[in-house]
Amino acid sequence: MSERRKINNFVKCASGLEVLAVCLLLTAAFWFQFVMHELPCPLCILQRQGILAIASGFLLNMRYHVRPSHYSLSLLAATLTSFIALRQIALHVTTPQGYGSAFLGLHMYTWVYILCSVSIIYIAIVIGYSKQFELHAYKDEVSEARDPRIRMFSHIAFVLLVFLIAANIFSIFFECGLEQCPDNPVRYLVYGRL
Amino acid sequence: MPYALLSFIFILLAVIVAWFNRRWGVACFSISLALIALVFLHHITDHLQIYL
Repeated sequence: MSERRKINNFVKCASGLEVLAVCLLLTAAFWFQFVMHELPCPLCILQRQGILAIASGFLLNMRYHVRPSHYSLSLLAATLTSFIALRQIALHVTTPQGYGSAFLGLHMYTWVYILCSVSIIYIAIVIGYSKQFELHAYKDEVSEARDPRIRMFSHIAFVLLVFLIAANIFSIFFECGLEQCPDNPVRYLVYGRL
Repeated sequence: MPYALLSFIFILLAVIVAWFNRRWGVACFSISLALIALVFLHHITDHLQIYL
């Protein structure tokens, strides 16, 4: 197997794993919502969107030729999401119990801030590996992994991402209906009206 | 209409469009980032009143 092909397989597989990591985060958010009955507030919903936007760059790298601009999208999304999480930390920093339940001593919005910071550092390191880029290739050409197993894995990651976004849309619709979401949600507005 | 729901729908659109067309996908993702930032600004300040 040529070195180019090995690098291509590795980067496509890594991109798929990165998309799956985002899916795992969203699944954890759903666990807090449906098992712990903690409905997401507007800032929590924005953080979910920001985390999904972080997956955008990895999704593009999975599907097309790897480019630094794809990583830039994820970096911008991680920066924006960290601001949103920081806002929520600042709102509750003087409250002893915080907002919502804690995991390993930290609330979800604090974990989102930490994970966004980690993802910024991670992308900064990964973007430095210049052999992965295919800058001279036709940038709009679909360029999936050459290994059929990695290609199948990336398709599964894409389907899972789409499913989780759709699930979030339904969840927000049932929580807020067609109105602005309440600041401190305690019940599903649409579900109660059915 | 909740703005969060609108921007989530736009993210779903961006993900699906990106799978089939790179340029439009990048454009949609960029717009969705801007939408998230606008909704965030609407929530945290009194300086951006969004009415639909």
